[in-house]
Amino acid sequence: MTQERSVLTLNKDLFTYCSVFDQVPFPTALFDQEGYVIYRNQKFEQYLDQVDGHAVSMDQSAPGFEQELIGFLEQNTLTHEWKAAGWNIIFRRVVSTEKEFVLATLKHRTSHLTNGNSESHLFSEDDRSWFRAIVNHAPEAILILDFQNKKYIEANPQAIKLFGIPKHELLHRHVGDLSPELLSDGRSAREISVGKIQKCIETGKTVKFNWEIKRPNGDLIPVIVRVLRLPTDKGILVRSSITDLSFNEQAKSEIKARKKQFNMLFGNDIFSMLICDLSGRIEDANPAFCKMIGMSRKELVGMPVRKLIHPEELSKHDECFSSQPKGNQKAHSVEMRIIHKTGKVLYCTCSSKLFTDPSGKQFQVQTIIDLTREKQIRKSLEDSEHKFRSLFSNSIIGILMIDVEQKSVLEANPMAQYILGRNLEEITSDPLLIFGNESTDDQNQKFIKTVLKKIRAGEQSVIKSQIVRPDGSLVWIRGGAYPLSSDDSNIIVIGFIDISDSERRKQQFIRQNNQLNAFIEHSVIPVAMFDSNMNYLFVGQKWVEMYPTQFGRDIVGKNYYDLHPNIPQRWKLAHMKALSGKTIKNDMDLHIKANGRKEWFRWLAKPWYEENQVIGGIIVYAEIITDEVLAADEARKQEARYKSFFENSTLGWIEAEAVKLIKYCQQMGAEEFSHDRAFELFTECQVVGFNDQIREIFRLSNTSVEEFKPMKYVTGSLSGFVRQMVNCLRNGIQVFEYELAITNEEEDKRNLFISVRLPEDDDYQHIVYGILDVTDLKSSISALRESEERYRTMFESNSLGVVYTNYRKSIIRVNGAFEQMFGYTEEEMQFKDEREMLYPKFRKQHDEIVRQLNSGETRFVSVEKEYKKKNGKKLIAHTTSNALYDDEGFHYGTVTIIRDISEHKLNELRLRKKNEELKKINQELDQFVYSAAHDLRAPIANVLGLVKLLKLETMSDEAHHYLKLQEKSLDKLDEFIKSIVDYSRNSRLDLAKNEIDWKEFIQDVLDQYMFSENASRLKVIVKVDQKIPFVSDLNRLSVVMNNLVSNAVRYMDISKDHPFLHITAKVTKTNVVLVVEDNGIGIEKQHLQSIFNLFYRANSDSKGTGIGLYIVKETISKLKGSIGVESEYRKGTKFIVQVKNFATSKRKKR
Amino acid sequence: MIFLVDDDEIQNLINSKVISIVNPNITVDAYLGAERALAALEEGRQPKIIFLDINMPKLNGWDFLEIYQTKYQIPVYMLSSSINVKDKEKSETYPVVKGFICKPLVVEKLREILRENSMV
Repeated sequence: MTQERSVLTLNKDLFTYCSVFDQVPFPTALFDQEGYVIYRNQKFEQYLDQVDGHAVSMDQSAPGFEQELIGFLEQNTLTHEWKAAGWNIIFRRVVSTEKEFVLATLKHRTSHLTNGNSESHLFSEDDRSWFRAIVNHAPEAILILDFQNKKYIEANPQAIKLFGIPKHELLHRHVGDLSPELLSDGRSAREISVGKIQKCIETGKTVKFNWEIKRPNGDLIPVIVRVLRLPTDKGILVRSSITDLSFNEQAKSEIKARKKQFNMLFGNDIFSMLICDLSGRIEDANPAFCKMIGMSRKELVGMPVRKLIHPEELSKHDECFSSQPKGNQKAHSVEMRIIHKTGKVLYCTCSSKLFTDPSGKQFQVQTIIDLTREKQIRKSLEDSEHKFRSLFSNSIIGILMIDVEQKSVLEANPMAQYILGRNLEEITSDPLLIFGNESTDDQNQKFIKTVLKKIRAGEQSVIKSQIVRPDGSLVWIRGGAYPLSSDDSNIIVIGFIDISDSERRKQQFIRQNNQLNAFIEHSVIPVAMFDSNMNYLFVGQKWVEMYPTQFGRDIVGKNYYDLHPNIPQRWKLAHMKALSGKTIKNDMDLHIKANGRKEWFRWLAKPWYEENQVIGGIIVYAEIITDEVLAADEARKQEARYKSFFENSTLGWIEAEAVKLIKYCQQMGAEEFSHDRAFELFTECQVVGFNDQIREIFRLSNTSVEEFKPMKYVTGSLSGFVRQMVNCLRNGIQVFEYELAITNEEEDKRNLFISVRLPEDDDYQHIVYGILDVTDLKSSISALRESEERYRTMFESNSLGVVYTNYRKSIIRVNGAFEQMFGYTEEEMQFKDEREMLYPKFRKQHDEIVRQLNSGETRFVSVEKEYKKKNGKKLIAHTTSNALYDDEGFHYGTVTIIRDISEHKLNELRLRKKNEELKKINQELDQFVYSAAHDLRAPIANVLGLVKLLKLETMSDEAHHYLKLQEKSLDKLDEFIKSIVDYSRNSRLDLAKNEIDWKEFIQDVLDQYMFSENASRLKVIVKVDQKIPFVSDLNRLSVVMNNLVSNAVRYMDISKDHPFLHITAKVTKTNVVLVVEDNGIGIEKQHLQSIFNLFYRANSDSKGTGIGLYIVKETISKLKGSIGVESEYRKGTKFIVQVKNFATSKRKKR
Repeated sequence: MIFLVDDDEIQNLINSKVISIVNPNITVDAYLGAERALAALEEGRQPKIIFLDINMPKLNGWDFLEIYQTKYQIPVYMLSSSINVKDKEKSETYPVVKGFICKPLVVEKLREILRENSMV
C-alpha cells in the first residue's frame, strides 16, 4: 500500500508545498487519501538511509504504521499522535485546493537526530514552516495582519487571486483599503473593520462577520471574514480567512439545479432507480422500478436489496457493492439477475454509486436497466456465435486471422491448417511462413502480400493463388480478406478455399450448406435468407410458420414476391435498400392483412456478402409482435376507458378523503377491530370533490365542497353500506356496488346506484363514489311490470278470446278463453291461419282487414265475424284486431280479441222477428180499425141521410121532433166512431214529420165546420205568426185542431149576439203556441180539472162523447207538447196549446 | 147531369134527393157499380160531375179512377164514409178528383160544389 508513486503526477501547488516542507527538520512524509506516499522530505530520506538505505515499506521500520494511518484517514480529526517504538509520529490533515492529504512527521524520542535541540525550539521552527505551508495551500484566502502597523505581512495565493492585486502591493495596504469606503449603511468601512479586529484581539476568540471587498476594477465581492489572533510572541499578528461567498451562491444554485435534475431523473419512469442506505436497505424506489419489479413502492421501501437478487448472484452483488465508487468516479456496473414479484427472472445491468448528502449521510443510488430482452437476444446471439464458431472450425474455408502490424498469425482454423499443411503451432509460431522476408519471392507469401496490397489500395481483394505445402504438394487456393473491424485495420481475416479439388469442394459446399441451413432453420427468430432477386435461399422454421404458403416448407428457390404478392410496398422498398447495402429495421410495423386483421411486425433486413464482397442478397429477420402490441394497446384503452368513465358527465362522482378510515381498516387486527369505530371514522371523511352531476342529483345550489355532507341526505341507515365498504377495505377488494336512497334538497326522493372505488395504493387514500340516479329507471321498470301484469290478466281472463298472429298470418298464441270458445287447444291452433276457421262469406272481409293492418293503413279494426268451431257449430263473434308494432315502428303481428256474441245475436234475431210480427199485426189492426169504422159508419150515414130526407117530408111536429132526436143520436154515434179511430191511431203510429203552414192548416180545419149547425153565426178570427218552417205530425195536429174547433162550434153560446172563435198561432224555433178562444158556454169550475179525462163530460146534455179532450191531451203529449185551459162558465173558454217544432231540433242535429 | 157511383142503394137514393132539393132540374144517374158507370160513359152519357164512392165490390173507386182518368176529364168528387186520411191523400194524387167529401153529403156542401161547376 505504501508503494511509491511518481511525484510527476502531483499538481503544481503540492509541488510548492513539498518544497516548503523539505525545510522541515524532521522526517516527514506526505500521503494521499488512499495511503500512498506522495512525497518524503530530505530528513526522511536521510533517516531511511540510516535505517536501511533503501526505500522500504514504512511498516517494516515502524510496525503498525499502515494500520494507524488508515485509522487516521477514516477519522475526522485534524491531528493524531501515535507513539511508535522509539518514535512519536504525528499525523496531520492538510487540505489543498483539490485534495486532502496526510502529513506524517516522525520525531525520535531520544532526539538524537535533532542534534540536541529542544522540542520547543523545534516546534517554533516547525510552527513557522507549517504555518507558511498551511497558509499557502489553504482553500480559502488567508491574510496575516500586523495589527500594530495595520499592514498585511503575508497573503496566500488565494488571497491574491481574490483581491486581484499583486502580492507586493497587497502587503503594504492598510487594513481598510481593500473594502469600499462606506458600508451600505453609511458607516466607515475602515472603522468597522478595525473594530472587529480589536474585538478579536481582546477576546482571543474567532470573530466572524460578513463583509464586502472591493477589487481595483470596482467589483464588489460578498465574503465571510473570520479573524483570529495568532499565538505568537512576535507582536500582534492576526489571521483573517476570507471565504468568497459569490462562489458559494453559485454553488448553492448549482446544487439546487442538480437536485432538480436528480428529482427529474428519479421521478422519471424510464430508468429504474433505487436509493439505498449503506447497509443495502431500500429507502426509495422510483415508479419505473416498481413497474419493472411488479411491486408497489410501499412493498419495496425498507426491504434489503439483496432480497431482490437472484440467489446465484448474491456473492457477485456483495463483492461489487462492498466498495462503492463516489463523486465523479465512474459507477460500478454489473450484470445481475433480479427476481420479479411473480418470480420471473429479469436480466439487468445495475450501476451503483455512492453519494453524500449535505448532512454527511451516505447513500447509494442504483440504476437498474432491464436487459431481459437484450439478454435473450444476446443469448441467442451467443448461441449463434457458438454456432458460427463451430462453423469457423468446421468451415471448408480456411480462415486466418493475422495482425499485419505485428506480423503474426493470431488464429487459423483447421481448414486453414489443412490447406496450408501445417498445424496451428507451426503457423502461429513462424510469421515468416506467411509473411516471409520482403525480399523472398515465395509463392505462399506472394498470396498474403497481394492480399495486403489490395486491401491497402481499397481494391477488390479476391485472390486466386497457388501455395506449396511443406510436403511439397501444390494447392490452388482462392480467397479474400477483410479487416476485422473498421477501427482496427491491422487485424485482417483471410478466408480461402482449396480449389484444386472441385469434387471435394462440392461435397464440402453441400455440407456447409446443410449446416447453414440447419442454423437458419432452427433459429429462434423467424429468419430467411434471400438472393439478390429475392428468391429464398434458406428459411427458418419459424419463418415458414409466420408466412404460411401452399408449399409449406418447400419454398427454397421460390420468389418471395411471387409467394406473397400482397406485401406492402414499403417492405419491397426496405428489401431494395438492404440489397443496396443498408441495414433496415422497424421495431413496430403495422401491416393490415387482406382479411382486415392487423398484424404488427418487428423486422430487420440486412445484406449478406458473397466472398467477393458483392452483396449476395439479404437476410430478413421478422417477428410478429401483434400480441405484445395489442396487449399494450389494450392497456392504453383500459386506461382511456377508466378516464372517460370519470370524465363522463352523466355519472356523478364524489371523492372523499379517507386516510384514517383506510388506515384503521387495514391495520387493525380482527380482535381489536370495531365496526362502530369504523363507522365513526367514515362519518369523519371529508368530501374533497364532486362533479356537476352530483349537484343535479342532490339539487345543490351553491353548496361548496367543504359544506357538502352527502350522508345527511341518505334515507334510512348507512350501516350496511359502511359495513360493506369496511369489508372491502379489510379484504383488499377495490370496487363494490351499492344502492341507496336519498332525499335531496328539493325533498325529492331519489334512488342512487353507487359504485365505490377504494384506493389502490397508500399514496392516495381517497375514496371515489360513482353515483347514478336510477329513480326514473326504477319507476319505469315498475310501470313496465304493471303493464305486463295487466296484459297477463287480460290475456288469461276467460271471457275474451285472444289470438296472436305473426306478420305471416300464422297463429302464435291463443289464450284459455279462446280454447274454450272454439274447442281447439293452443297446440292445435299454432301456425294455423285464422282465415281457415271463418265461414267462407267472411274470408274476403278478413283478407281486407289483414291487408289494412299490414299496410299500416289502420291500426285497429273492429268487426263481426262467424267462425266454425271444432264441433262444427257456428260461433258469431265480435272481433277487435290491433296491429302490433315494435319500438322501431316495425309491424310484427296482430292481436285479435274475440268476444262470443252468438247468444246475443240469436236474441237479437228473435227480437227482430217478433218486432216484424208486431208491426204486421199493428198494420192489420190499423186496417181493421179503418174497415170497422167504415163499415160501422156506412149504415149510420145511410140512416142519417134518410132521417134528413124524412125531415123534408111534411109530418107532424111530434114526428119531426123524434126525427131530430134520432139524428142527434146518430151524429153522436158517428162522432164516437171517428174518435175511437183517432185514439187508436195516436197510440199506435209513429210520429210523422210534415212541414206545416199554420195559416193553411187552420183554414183547412175550419172549412170542415163551415156547414155545421149555426156555424155561419160564428165569427172566426185567425191570427198566425209564422216566419220560419214548422215541422210536426200533421194528422195528429189535425186531430187536436179538429177537436178544439168542433168543441168551440159545438158549445157555442147561441144566446150571445156575437159568438166568436179566435185562433192564434205563434211559431218559434222551438215550438208553436196555439190559442183557441171562444165566448161559448164555458166550463163550470168544478169540471175544469177533469175535462181531459177519458169519458168525462162536463155537460149532461152535452153533444160530446167524453172522449175528444182525452184524445187531444194524449195526442199533444205524443207531439211533445202541453195543453192548458182557462174557462169561465157562460163566458167562454180558452185552450192554450204548446207543441214542439221538430224543424229546429232536426236542424240542430245536423 | 150528375153521376152517383155507389154500391149502396140507400146512399144513392139519399144523395139523389139532396141534389134534387138543391136543384130539381139536375138529372141524376145513379150506378150501383163502377163498371156500370164506365159503361154508361162509354155509351156517351156526359155528366157534369161524378160523385164516387171508394169501397165497392168488383171495381172499387180507385180502379174506376185508373181507367177513367185516361179517357175523361169530368170532375170527380170522392164521396166516402172513410175517415182514413190516407184515402184523402191518395185521392189528391188524381188530377181529375176535385174534392173529398166525408159522408153524409150535406146540402151546404153540395150547393158549394154545384156553384163551383156552374150548375146552380
